[in-house]
Amino acid sequence: MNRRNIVKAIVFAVLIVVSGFAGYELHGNSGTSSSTVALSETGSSLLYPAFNLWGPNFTKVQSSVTISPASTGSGTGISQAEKGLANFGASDAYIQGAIPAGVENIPILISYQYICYNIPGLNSVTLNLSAGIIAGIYMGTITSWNDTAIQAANPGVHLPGNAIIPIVRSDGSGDSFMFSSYLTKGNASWASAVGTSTNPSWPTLPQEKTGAQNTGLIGVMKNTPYTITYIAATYTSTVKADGFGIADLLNAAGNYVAPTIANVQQAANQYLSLIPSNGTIALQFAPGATSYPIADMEYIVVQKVQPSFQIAAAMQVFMFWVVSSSGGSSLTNFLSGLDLVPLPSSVVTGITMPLIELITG
Amino acid sequence: MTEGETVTVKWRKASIRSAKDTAVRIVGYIILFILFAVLAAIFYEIADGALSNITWQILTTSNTFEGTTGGGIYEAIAGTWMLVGTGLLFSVPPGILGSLYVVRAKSSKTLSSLVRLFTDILTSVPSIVIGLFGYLFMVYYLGWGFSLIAGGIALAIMMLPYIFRVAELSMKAIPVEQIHNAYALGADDFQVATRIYIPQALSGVLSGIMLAISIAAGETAQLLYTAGWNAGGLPSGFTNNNLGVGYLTYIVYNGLLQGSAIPNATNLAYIAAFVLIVTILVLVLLSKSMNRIVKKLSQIMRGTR
Amino acid sequence: MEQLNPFFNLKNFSFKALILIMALVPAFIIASVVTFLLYYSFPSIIYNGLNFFTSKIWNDGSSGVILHNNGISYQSGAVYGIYPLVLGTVLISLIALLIAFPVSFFVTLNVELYMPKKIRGTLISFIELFAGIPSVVYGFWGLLVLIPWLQNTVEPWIGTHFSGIPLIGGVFTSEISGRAYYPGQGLLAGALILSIMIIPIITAVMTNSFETAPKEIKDGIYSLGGTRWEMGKYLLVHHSKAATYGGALLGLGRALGETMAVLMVTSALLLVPSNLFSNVSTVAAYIAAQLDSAFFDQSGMTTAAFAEAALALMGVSLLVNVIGRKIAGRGVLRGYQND
Repeated sequence: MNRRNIVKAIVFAVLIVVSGFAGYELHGNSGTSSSTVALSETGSSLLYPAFNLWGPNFTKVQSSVTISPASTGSGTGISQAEKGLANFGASDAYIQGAIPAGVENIPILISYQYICYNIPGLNSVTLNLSAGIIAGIYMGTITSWNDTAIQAANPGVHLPGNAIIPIVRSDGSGDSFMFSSYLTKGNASWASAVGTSTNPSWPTLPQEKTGAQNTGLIGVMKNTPYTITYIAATYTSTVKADGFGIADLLNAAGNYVAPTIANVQQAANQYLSLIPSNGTIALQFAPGATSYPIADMEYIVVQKVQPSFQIAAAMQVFMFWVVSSSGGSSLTNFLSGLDLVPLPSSVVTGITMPLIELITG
Repeated sequence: MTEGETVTVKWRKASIRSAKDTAVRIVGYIILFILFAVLAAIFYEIADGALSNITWQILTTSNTFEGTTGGGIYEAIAGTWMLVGTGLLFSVPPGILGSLYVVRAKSSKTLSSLVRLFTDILTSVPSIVIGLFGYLFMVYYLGWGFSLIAGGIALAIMMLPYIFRVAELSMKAIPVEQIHNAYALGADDFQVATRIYIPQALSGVLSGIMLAISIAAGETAQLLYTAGWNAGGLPSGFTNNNLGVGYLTYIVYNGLLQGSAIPNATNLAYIAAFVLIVTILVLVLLSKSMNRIVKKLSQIMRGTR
Repeated sequence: MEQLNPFFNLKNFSFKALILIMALVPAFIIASVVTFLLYYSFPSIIYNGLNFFTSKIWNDGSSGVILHNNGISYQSGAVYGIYPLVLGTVLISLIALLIAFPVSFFVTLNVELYMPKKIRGTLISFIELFAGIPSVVYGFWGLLVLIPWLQNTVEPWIGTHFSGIPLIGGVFTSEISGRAYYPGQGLLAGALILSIMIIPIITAVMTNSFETAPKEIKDGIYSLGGTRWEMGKYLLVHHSKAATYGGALLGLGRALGETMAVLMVTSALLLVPSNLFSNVSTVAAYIAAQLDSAFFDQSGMTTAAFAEAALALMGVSLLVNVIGRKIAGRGVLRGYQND
């Protein structure tokens, strides 16, 4: 009987351990057989929906390559790619400081941000805001919607006296980076007090609220009137469906401009000659009459030397496809649904393509 | 009354005392009712959100969060089991063998109590600390990447103390005479362990394992930075080319965050939470009834002999 | 007795060696975690000193501007202080305990004293169900159901009815620019979610006291004419006092390290809370929220600071749990009773 019990114990243990693995063989495991290359992508949550669309569609074109994306955050994407723990590290910001040897950040797209507000009765009115006003709100020097600075920028609009509730991202984020980078460039006191970071040291305001990811920001905004926040353009459809106001922002030329794809591309075009060959540049406050002031390039961080030529080749094919206007950067197939902006073709050929070509096995 | 205890009795008026008794009773009922309502509210919210969208298709389809349809949660379900299975590989041997050391009469008493202390300490390491350690050490420093083994070991760290403790308690419940007799008949430690401790404590050990599985299956913070995420396929090995592993709690956490950016993401979060809760409840019930089940099983086996 | 076999028993010797090694695994794990975190956080310990626990500012410094000083690297202007997080962790856990302790107390009394024996086991299993729900599911529910309810119903009610109380009214007053303001997410939400999560632990310890109490105590008090409430109170407050407090400590220990649920219903901001509804964050939740942003810092100092925060959290949580377990006895595992 004892022996039988032992046998039973072993059978049980084995059953428990094996049960998880059991479905594996049955279900098959597409993507890791010897003839195909499975590429890992990790990083930016903003680019995650894009990779989730690109992956299966690219595999339809190139059946020997599969893409496995994970939304972990831009910082993790950079650190994993640098260490060779992921093939692609997606990031909303370029690598800060000196780019480590053997690593490159490759611009693939442009993303931009809205400044949204939820003011009952005024959401259908487009307010004019500037970096100075927004910095004042987030630093606690502008506290109510009818503040003289806001009134001066919006003559004729009847602004309520309610307190402004600024919302920030609770998680470390490329969106916070883009937003704080915009304020740093546009406002001297923000630059000296807070600066640019994925986790900005927000001036402590008791009324401040937070949301996790863009969805969290939108959720908080929906529940709380008199709020203001920054939302990635990828959430356009939600923002419009919820009927929040979207501000026109003061640009470098002194005009209030709306966040449209044309105005964002205009900003990128203005910077064309200034983009260094390693792709590292912030697009905020581009010159030009209609340039929208909050935009940045999205990056894929890679190790130049990959484990094999097969992998390197697969990565190159995928990245060429991503930036191609007939592939991943097709507005009609992918980008307009995601509200992302393709790179100007001169950036693709002048900056992105040469960087992709450096990847080797 | 136990020895050395005295009770000073100063009874007040009987009517006040019985009124107090009733009051406490009513407060208890109210609180129990509220707790029941909270539990019902949680289950209702999850079940309501999940059942209107759950289909066999979603449970068996790959590519969670895939662009146009939102995909299914197959990888997360299977991945959860693979992670838990890997966790068992690393926690069952030290859990059972370690408790054999502690219950063995001739083991050092000091060392045994230290082992117990460290096991207790292990239950109190916050999950995010295991996650951070797992990322910095296993994923980054050792270069394992997001993998089955990193996630599995992170889970094993928290499963081990439960398996250990329940095994230890079940072994301690075995009558001492039986063990003394075995030694007196010339059995060695190995024989005592394999013929008395393990068979007799079997049901307890298994219920401890079930409990550990039920806890591990619901963990998030350890896995975010060790297992990463992967919805495109199941791991082909312990390190799996840094492709990561899917698991249900990731969908619950991230599905809500993805919101409208990914079609169906919130629905998938509800469904994942539902599958998770049902799985855990079944495991907890199994754990609770393991004693009876194992006894029944052995009866059946004896009956068929 | 062991030496009856005159020959060296290799099988038994290896078996004994094996169980000894396996018994040392928990200690080995703890040692590895502590050693590695200490090693990793060393630059932060040197750079921040005691300021780490007293400063209210957490600033990664200027992105990409890396300075080197005495062998350590950091971003220019970096300051790391976790004081608001420590305060938030302590406050949120204590309020959770303040709610969970009396609830567990009355639940235990009710179940053990007034419920028929037949359904007692069922009721205890029902309380244990709370321990089975994963942290992330609590957070999910908290975000979708609890927060809107707090924001629109509970907090305004508390605010209107309690803010007028002298001395402590301020705790229930939340205003911006003179208008009442109820955020939903924050201290109260976190404490409520945590209290639900620790009720099973405390209840398990308390019901355990009842089940292990000598029958003589119960019979003795009843025979002296005591009511059931008097018996129960005596048992929990006097006879098993240590277990009762130990159980509370175990609940506190769980609350201190809880991550996902708290992360999802609080704000992850470094604010010193000013009232019951304030923005607040805990050490565990902040690590989970911001760890990713630390990897942007190529100097590694921000990651080191997070490792130091994790180490401190582990130390405190470990201390509370070990003391709790020492007084409560070892009969309880995360809200589940050992049969």
